[in-house]
Amino acid sequence: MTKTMTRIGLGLAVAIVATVAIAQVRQERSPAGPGDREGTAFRMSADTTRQAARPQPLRVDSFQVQRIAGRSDLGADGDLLITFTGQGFQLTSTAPRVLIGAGLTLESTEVNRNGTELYVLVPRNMTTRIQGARFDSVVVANPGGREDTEFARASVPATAARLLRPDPNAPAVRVVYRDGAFSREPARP
Amino acid sequence: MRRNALAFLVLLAVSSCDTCRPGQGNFALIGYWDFPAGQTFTLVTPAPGGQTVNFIARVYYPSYDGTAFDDPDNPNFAGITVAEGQHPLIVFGHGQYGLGSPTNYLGMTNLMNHLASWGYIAVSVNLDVVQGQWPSNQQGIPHRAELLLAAVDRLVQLNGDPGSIFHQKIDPTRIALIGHSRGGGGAISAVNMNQAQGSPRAIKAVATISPVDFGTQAVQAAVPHLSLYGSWDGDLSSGHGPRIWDGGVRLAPKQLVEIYGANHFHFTDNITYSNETNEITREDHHELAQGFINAWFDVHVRGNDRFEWPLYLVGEKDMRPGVNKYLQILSSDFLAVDNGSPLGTEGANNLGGTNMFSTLPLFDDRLLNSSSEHFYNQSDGLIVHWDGSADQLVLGFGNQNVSTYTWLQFRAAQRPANASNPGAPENALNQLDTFKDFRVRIKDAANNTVVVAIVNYLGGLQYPDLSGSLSATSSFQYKAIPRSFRIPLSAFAGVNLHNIKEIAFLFDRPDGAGFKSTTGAIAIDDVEFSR
Repeated sequence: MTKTMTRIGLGLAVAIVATVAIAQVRQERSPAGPGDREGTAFRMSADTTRQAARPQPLRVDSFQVQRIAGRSDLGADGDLLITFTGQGFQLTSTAPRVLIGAGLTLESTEVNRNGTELYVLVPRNMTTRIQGARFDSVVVANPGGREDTEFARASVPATAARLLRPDPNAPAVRVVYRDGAFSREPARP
Repeated sequence: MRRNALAFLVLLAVSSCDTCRPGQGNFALIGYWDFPAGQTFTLVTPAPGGQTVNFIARVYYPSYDGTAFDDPDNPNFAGITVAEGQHPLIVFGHGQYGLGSPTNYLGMTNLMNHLASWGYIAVSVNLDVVQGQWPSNQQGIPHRAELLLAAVDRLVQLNGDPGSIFHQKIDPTRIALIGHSRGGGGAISAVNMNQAQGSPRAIKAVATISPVDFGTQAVQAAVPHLSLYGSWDGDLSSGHGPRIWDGGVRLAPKQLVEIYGANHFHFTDNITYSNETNEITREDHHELAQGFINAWFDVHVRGNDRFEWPLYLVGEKDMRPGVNKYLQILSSDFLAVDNGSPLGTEGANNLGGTNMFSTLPLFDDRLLNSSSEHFYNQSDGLIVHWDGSADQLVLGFGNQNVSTYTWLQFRAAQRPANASNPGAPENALNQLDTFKDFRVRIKDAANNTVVVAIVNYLGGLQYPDLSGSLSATSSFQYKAIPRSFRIPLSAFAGVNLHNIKEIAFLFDRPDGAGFKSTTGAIAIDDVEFSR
């Protein structure tokens, strides 16, 4: 019994010494650099992030020109709206632009929820300049400085007259922001 | 069984290790808590206000709750007990990517977890509820600022709520903001908005990662501002970040870290933007952001001076070996010798003395903000060209007692070749991818002088980086973003610091391996004594 007690006592003593030793080792551990996790013991939750959606290559299938009517979250009553339809319109800290050439760029744009429509406002103070420019295509450019990837740019046949002429069969429209995304809606009568 | 054993070891180590506590060390479980669904917030901007958006946020926090390991139904440690003590509060605003919601606000877990592991309560707010360009309203930046401040207010409210897991767990006197990209613009705007409201929230520091500049006012408050910017940023490649950082007031310390090879989106957990590329790894991005921001907040939010972290912060210890990074460090406590202002007075300095530059082929003062000249600052500075070993710039002034200052410092940038102007003199004076060395001399009233070479202070002056995220012909290539040189005044032993009358830049260094110093074209700004 005494032997057993002694063994238990010794075991406890060893455990205490070991604990203290562990504590000493940990206390002596010099923290690594402020960005370094190596050797740290913290545990974090399992991956709670979600994978970002993979972008699609930029493609423009068609475009439509409409007049804005009523209260719109992009543009105002009477403005022209060009909607490019396709895929891969990308929103980052900035939005896609439409490069017309001769220094003309349309930058007031929004993208719909799944990146298949690009809404481009034609500011009234630019219509005269666009009318006076000679071009037969425009470039839709996603944000960023690269020009050499399939995600960056798409060329679209278009003339000044075409860009500034509302489609005869297209109803007046407004752009609305709802539930975290933009979309087109027919103008209210 | 293994979970129990691990929990036991965690608790054992925690209970016996003071230096491992979150307030002092980096030992913690990380829990998270989501704001209940259905909460809303009504924006004040744009006037007249009244737009209601969803308020969505996730809180990351330190914990010692060993029972977390026992619950197989809670693998992510949601809602576990918050560690004892009152923890500084950090609110983070994410950038915009794609249609975002809800992933963007959950996409900086690497940084949130890291800060929580160091004892912060970190909140990431969903800012995509104001997604869109909103060109007439600074593209939604003030909206984001409102949401960030709302998060501060709601966490402080929970701190006072006995029914909350955060009851008495937040230190409302220590608050910091972080923002990436649009969230960075939002964080800067929030600092100013808080000040305009009379500073009801104790915001002690702000950190931004490549913040946007959509007409947002730079930091106007006495809040220390750290900013990180990657030379390969392919999204805000037009230099928003350095510009808005530089435009801030100098009422508190401010620091910019330019990271060569870093881009815009690799600071996030997993976003890869197809229109940019990277030279350094995502892990490099993460560790640099985690390290600089953690150290910045440790000094400016907690008021610590420990673990040699202030040395990491100023580059004297390397935050991430193998990655080139250049720091601009501006103190709020300084004596300006020459900051380039006011324009048109390059012959005089801020101390009322005369600048002598007759040997230089070009010496001028300019606003260093023209991207066509590769500058992305908001402030005035000095353009200095040299082409001979006798060339020097001498800033003379009446005797100054600088003995109570710690540093003689200035920031400088090499002027890259100007592709749009083949005849520009800088094209021939500088050489691609080589450093500059030159010397700095100070002279006292008795004409004692001491000279030091800048190469001895974290290396020479680097050539601007070629960004792989930009087309070779992009006008935004080769940004002349300055770096600071801080020379301790102790290096000038032999002159009487109570009576200094001159600082001279001597361009008399030879060329050498990796150095082209016999000729040069640089910008110099904020020559000053500082503490």
